[in-house]
Amino acid sequence: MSFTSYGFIGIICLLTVVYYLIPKQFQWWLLLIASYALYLRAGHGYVYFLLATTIITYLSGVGMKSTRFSKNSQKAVFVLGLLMDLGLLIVMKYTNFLVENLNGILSALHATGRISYFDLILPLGISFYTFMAIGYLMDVRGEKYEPQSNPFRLALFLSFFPAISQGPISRYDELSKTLYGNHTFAWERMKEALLRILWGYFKKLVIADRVAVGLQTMVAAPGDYRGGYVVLAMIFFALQLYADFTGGIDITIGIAKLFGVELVENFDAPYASKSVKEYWRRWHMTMGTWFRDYLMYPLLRAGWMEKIREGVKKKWGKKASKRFTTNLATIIVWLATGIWHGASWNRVLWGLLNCFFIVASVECEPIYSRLDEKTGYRKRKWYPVLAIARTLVVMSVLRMFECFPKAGETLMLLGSLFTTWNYGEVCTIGWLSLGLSKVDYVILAVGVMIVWTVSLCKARGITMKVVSKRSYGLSLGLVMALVIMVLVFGTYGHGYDASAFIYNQF
Amino acid sequence: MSKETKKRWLRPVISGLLVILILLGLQRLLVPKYMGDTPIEGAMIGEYYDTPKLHDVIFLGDCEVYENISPVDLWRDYGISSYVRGSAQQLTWQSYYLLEDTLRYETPKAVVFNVQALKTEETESEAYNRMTLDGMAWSLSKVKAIQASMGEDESMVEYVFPLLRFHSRYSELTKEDFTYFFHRDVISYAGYYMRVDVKAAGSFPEPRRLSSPSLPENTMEYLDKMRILCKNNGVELILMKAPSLYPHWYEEWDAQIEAYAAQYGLAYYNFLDVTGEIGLDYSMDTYDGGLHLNLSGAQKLAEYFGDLLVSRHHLPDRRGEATYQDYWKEQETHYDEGRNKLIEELKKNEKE
Repeated sequence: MSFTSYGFIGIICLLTVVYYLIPKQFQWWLLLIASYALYLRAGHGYVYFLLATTIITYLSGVGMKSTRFSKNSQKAVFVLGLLMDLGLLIVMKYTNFLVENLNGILSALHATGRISYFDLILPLGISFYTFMAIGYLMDVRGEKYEPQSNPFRLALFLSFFPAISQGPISRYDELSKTLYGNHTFAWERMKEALLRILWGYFKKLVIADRVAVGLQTMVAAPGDYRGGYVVLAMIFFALQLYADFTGGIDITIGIAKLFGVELVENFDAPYASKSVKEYWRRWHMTMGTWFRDYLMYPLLRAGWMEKIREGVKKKWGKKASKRFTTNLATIIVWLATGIWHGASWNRVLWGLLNCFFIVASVECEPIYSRLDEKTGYRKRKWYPVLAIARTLVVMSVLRMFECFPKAGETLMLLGSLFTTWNYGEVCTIGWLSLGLSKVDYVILAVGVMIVWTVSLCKARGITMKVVSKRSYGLSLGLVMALVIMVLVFGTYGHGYDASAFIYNQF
Repeated sequence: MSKETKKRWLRPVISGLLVILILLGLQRLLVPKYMGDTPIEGAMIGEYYDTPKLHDVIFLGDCEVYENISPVDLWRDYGISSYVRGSAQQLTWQSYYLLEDTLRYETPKAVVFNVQALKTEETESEAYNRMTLDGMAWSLSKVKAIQASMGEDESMVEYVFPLLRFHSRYSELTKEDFTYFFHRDVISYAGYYMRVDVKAAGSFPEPRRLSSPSLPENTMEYLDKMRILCKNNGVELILMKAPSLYPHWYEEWDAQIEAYAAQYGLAYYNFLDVTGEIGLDYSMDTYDGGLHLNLSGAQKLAEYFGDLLVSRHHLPDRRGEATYQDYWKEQETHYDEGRNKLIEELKKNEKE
């Protein structure tokens, strides 16, 4: 059930009332029932995979700590659990990608036979709950905390409905602090939650879904929209992706807060980043830290990586060996990040290009430092602005591989930036031919200004929490303004086909 | 309750009420007013609730009723007190629920249902749904009417809170939306939509072959529900087919309705068969080429139909009754003023 459906909003209101009326010890049970009921509504077939992951993770977690097992058996239980959780994700998400590529090879070899595609569904949120399950198993294995002995509690951790479809990718030790707690109704928290939810809806319905109309026009017929339109597509997609994903996370965090559950933040002003590396520290932070903690660090600690490090060390020295293995691990992580975002070569290319910019930036750092020593350019006032603008441009170009489904098509469109000189047409009549009216552009501009202002306030420590605590009148004014803006200027209801949240597809 | 506790609870309650008040204001501003810039048919269903419930006949149906039947002429000619509960493309089930709704307020002696809508088995347009349903007062009948009428992309919530449906009208607001923020003009004449212009009937497309000779089952079921509801309330159900030349009314459908009427002892008048007796001249009595009658045609139809209603269905002449006189005097004044205004506008347009 979509966050933007009337039914979902009604259910949340009802759940909130019931949640604070029932005895506190049953509150987490209500969340578990609601999570599974809503998940079932999204599709009956999905639930078997969620159940399977939950059972595997539970048994593996308990098994690897069981004193009845030897050390080796405990390790085997851990590896088996890990492989089964990951296996489910790989089979469901990547089987048909493999078939597609095998058929491509068969076609290239002029072989007559073709492998049939499998009729597989991609369970909602499988990428998110699988990563949470793997994180849990690795933490238990690393003795960060004890395994959860109650399977239903673990089931709630993996299925918690606000977060299951688009994250954030929570850690068990963090989420469990509030997920199973006994919560009392508190106006302050409710106010803060409401503000956060409304802010999310504002970003999603007023900005993301409005700009999506123009973007969809271009994505549907990429051949017709080259040159200057690609610049528009970059701007539109940057706005849509940010407003859609951060809006979705705001709603998620706000809804969780209604039930007293604290979820981790997933964004920290990513468009104010001065480098690609910094951008990825601020964008989808829970995914970044997941890859860092559960893939990058284990890779760097792996025996085979140690051997490579030793080999390189003998030939080129210690410093080079460290850089080599770090870069190798970075490439693997970004390959995984790319493929996690979608089973396509476009995503793989996107991941590798991100990796290229990160590695290149790290490798070129000594050159930049020397240049800075000579010229002092990093201390100039304009440098941060330039660095932010540079990162925005690089990320906008890279995001085109997310926006358009085919790698060849994306490259063609990026090439047309220099070959199709229709910028005059785009600026005069083209911008109004994408399904957006002048009024839409005005609303978008005002919306973006508001988001930007809020980001600036946040950077100065004026958060919604602070506002809702300090001034009743101001928070009331904000609630009213947001309600009115969302209800009046939102892209929803009859005649609109509101886009699903972009990150739901993972 | 301590002062602090009171404050803690009062603040959010007052704030909530304030938000609701603002939203209601916005809703009032953004919903279509159906007063001229938007099709006025959308305002007609709601006007019924402001009239005294003194009707011996209620007419139900689509544009073939509200553009062809003139209650003021029925009153003037025969003293029949009637009202048209019709709207654009009003579907059979909407007529049924409007009948249910009407019976909450009054029990007429007769209900006249125009059978043309029986051919339509599915909702065709959300805009027409809105014009019929938004004007209905809230009741279980309205809820059921909405449920029966909603298309795939419609939602009950948007009927309950029309702001959710019409929020995007912010970019099309006109002077009308502000003028009619607090009030609405009465635009119908006891449910009748008056036109005085003339456009002679022309030729129509050849009727297509029917895929099935029978009227749809679901609409016939609602007709049957209407019959039972009337019977249970002691109301006589009369069926009519208005003398509109298009859309085509097939002989097969006519035979089916005749058979149905005969089976249950209902009166059925197909006015297409008696246009000569009515005295209709389709070069003068229609404003849109034969689809609907203008005032001249409606007056002729009222004279003919009124006679039938009095002679065959024994509807009383209320002209001597004081309770009716005030109501109908007001209606007649409104009718005369409206007619004169339309005639003036027509003359002005002809000069231009």
